[in-house]
Amino acid sequence: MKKIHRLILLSNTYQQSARFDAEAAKVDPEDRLLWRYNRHRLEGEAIRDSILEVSGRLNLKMGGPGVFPPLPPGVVTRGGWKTDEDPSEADRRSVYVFVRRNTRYPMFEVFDMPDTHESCPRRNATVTAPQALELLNNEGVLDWSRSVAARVSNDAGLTPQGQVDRAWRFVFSRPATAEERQNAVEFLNRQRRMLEERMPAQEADRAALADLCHMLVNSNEFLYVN
Amino acid sequence: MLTRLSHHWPITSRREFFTRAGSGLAGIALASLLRADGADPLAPKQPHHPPKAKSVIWLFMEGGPSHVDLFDPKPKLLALAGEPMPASFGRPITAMGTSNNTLMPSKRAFKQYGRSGIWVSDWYPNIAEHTDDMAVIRSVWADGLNHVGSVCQMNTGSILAGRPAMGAWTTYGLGSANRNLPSFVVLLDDKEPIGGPKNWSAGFLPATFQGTQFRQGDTPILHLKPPSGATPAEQRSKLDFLKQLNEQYSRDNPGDSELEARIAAYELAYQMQSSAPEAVDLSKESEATKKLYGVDAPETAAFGSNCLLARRLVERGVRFVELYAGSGSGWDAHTDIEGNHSRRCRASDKPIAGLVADLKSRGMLDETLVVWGGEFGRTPFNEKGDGRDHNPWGFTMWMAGGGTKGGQYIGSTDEIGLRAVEQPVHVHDIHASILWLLGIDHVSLTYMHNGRAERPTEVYGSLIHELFA
Repeated sequence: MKKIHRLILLSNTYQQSARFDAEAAKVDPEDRLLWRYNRHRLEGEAIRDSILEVSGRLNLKMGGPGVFPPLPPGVVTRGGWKTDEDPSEADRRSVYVFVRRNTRYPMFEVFDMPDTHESCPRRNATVTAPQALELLNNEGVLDWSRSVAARVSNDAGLTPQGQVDRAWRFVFSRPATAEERQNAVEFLNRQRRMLEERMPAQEADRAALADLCHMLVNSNEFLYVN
Repeated sequence: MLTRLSHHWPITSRREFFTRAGSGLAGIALASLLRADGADPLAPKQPHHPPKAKSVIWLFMEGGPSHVDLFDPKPKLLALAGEPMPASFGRPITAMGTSNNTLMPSKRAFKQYGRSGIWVSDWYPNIAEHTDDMAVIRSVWADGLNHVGSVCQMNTGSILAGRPAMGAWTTYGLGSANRNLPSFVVLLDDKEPIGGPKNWSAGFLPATFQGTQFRQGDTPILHLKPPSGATPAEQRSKLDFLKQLNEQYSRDNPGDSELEARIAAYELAYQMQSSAPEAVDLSKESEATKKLYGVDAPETAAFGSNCLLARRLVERGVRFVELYAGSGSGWDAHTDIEGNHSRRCRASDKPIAGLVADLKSRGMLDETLVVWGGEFGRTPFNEKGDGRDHNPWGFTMWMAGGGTKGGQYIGSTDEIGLRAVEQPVHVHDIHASILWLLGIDHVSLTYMHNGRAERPTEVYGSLIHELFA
């Protein structure tokens, strides 16, 4: 088995990216012949870990009993979920989030964590509106995005261009293109103007940057592995 | 499909080679169709035949209502009152080992209603007014003895967990008929049903098709409100920016429908934020309507609100609504059936009658199939003197609207109501017939799972032809 694994892992086919190739797509549109890697979405657990990582908050503490991060309002657990008192425990890696048979952690559940009553040979990877709601409206995700923004402004000073560049490097591990930088700066200005109507200017600056980071972690580029 | 389950079937025999060679062109057309659908698994799909019903409202009396006290009067029970069951009926193994107990006649008064003269007991006086719209199936039978398996089977066809619920099959087969609400909704009036969410799970189907349990109260779906008081304009602006990011990414990475589907999912989510709270807001309904459903009285308020909500959801294109009455095994009257069923019937009689009447007066009953039943019925012999045990061998369900022929009986039980004798109708037959009314052929609707083309009725099920108008 080890030899076969080595053979597979070292092959050109295995090491391909998901890059599109018009000529190959014409011959084999469904990628049956594996001319490219089949792009896949991160699992719910990896999505949570990834956002926590770019926010700089991921708690890498190893071992010990499972943790109970806060649940969104509206989830009924009948006492089976005692939220941890120490907030840093809520930022532990997803592998430590307690798996309770009757209460799946909602973010994992919505991103296709299998039913805990049954065995599961293979996970589905669906695309649904409740997933969008989860990443868009979950107060926790916005809070993580605020931490991403705080990290960005600590490192990049106050010019919007610098902030955009820094955010792109944290979230996408690459610099922003000129077009992206321009679009993002436009968004920051537009968002700040709206936010200033309901909060002081300095706060609006921070909130606009948090909104930017929030959308970056919602984007396909962040959530898909090429 | 979005599931990345691309099934490559190697050709294993000469026969298969010719079969596939012959269907080659059709196969190509289908593959491209699937890919077009692949962008959105909820896109409406062609039914197999013209449907009679657009939606199903399934009224699930969880715990097992007693057919011999509601719809299936048995004078013979009175004659045999207090005697052990004659051997000729065959002694079944029951959940609580009660089959040696003496027979117990119903204390209810039965009357015939409507032109059809269908018998209904005094526990259901309001529902009784609709007998001419009801096809009363008195010969249903099921495989499970206990609640977990039986509730599961009534939902999925199997007493073993892991198969998709009928609502999930329906959405898989037909897609969604609306763009701003889930297609399969579950409403509870009390505790979680026995077995929990696996009763509305998508099983091996993609999770997109699973039922969405609306929470009681004003948070029907999680995360429907933007966080931290964000205004709609702020949120729209964020979504526009996100769309810009994603469209740029799609341009750089063409040929991936899943990426497009995610862009569409964000738009649907945005729509749901405004539509879902409106759909569950009963305050817009007139006082007369609320009264019709019993929303105004404490004993009927919980289930009445759900019945009214079900109508509102069906109006807005939800295909499958499952409402539990007495969720958490409320009808399970092993003792004191008089007290238990009196309460359960009071809580559900007026709401259900109101629902049927309301659907009818709005012209919706023709295309809305209403299904009433539990996971099984109850035994003719007593348990602990004043209760009844589980009876999966013969019990009653009824359907109304949605292309069914009302005012008729289908099948019957033996003289004491223990077993289905005339035209037994299995749960699979119920499922096959419901799907047929929705335009789905239960044999043709398949999903490849672990190398097997799975269908909603496993390898069983036949249509109840008498049911159809």
